[in-house]
Amino acid sequence: MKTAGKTPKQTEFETEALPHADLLYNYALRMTNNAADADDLVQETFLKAFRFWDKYEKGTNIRAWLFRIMKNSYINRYRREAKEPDTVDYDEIQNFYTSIRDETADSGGAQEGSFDALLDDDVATAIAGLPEDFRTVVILCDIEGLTYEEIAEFLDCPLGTVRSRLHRGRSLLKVKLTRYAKDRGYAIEG
Amino acid sequence: MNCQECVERITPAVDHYLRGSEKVWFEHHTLHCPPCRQAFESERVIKQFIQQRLPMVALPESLARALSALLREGGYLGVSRVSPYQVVQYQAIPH
Repeated sequence: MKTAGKTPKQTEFETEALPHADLLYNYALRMTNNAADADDLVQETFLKAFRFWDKYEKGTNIRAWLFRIMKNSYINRYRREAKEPDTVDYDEIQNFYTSIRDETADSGGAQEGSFDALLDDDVATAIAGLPEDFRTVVILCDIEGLTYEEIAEFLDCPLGTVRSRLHRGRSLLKVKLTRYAKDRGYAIEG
Repeated sequence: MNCQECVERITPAVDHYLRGSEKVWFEHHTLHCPPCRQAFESERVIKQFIQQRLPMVALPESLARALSALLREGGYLGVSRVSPYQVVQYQAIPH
C-alpha cells in the first residue's frame, strides 16, 4: 500500500472523479432512502471506478460513466435482494389516468400548499416508492438539477423518454402524496 | 394548439424548455383552457414541492474521509465490499 505521495492515477482520479461524489451520494440517498445504504453504494461505486479507471475514455462524460457504475451496483444489490426484477407496475400505470382524473376531481389538482402538512420523510418515502425508472429521472431532474440532455446520456435513452418518464413520475408522486395526506387526515385544498 | 399538443408540452414547460413561438403558443392555450392550465400548475407545484422538501444534501464528512482513504490506499481498502460476481457484472457494462 502507498502511504506517501500520489500516483498519476490517484491524482487524476481525485481531480476528475471525486468532485462528483455529491451527485452520486444524493442519487444513492434518494434511491435507497437510507443514509447507510447510500454510503455503502457510493463507496462501492468509487472503488469500482478507481479499479477500472483505465477503462474510462478521457474526455467523455465522467458523470455519466460514474452514474452507470452506481446504477449497476444498485441493481446488483437491490434487485437481487428483492429476488425479482424491479419493474414498472403497469397496473398502477394503467390506472394512472383514472387516478389522476379522480384525484383532480376531488382536489382540483395539486396547488400551492396542498402538501405542506406532510413530513419530509413522507416525501422521501413517496419518491422511494416510485417505480425505478420514474424515480431515477425525478431524482436527477428535480433534486439534482440535471438537464434532459444529460439525463438522456446517463440513461442512454432518447430525450422523449426522459420527458415522458418525468411526467409520469411526477404524476404518480402527486397521487402518492395525495393519498398520504388523506391517510393522515390532512385536508387537501381544493 | 389543441389540448393533446398542449399536454405533450406540459413537462418541458414546467422545466423551462419551451422557447419562442412554442412558448407563446403554450401560454396562450393554458390561459384560455382551464383543464390544461390546471394540469400544468399541478406538475409545476409537484416539482417545486420536491425541490423545497428534498434539497441536495452535502456529502457526509465520514464518507468524504472514507473516499479519501480509498484513494490514498490505491483502491485496496474495502476490497471485501465487492464480490467477484459484481466485478464480472461491471466488466460487462459498455461505457
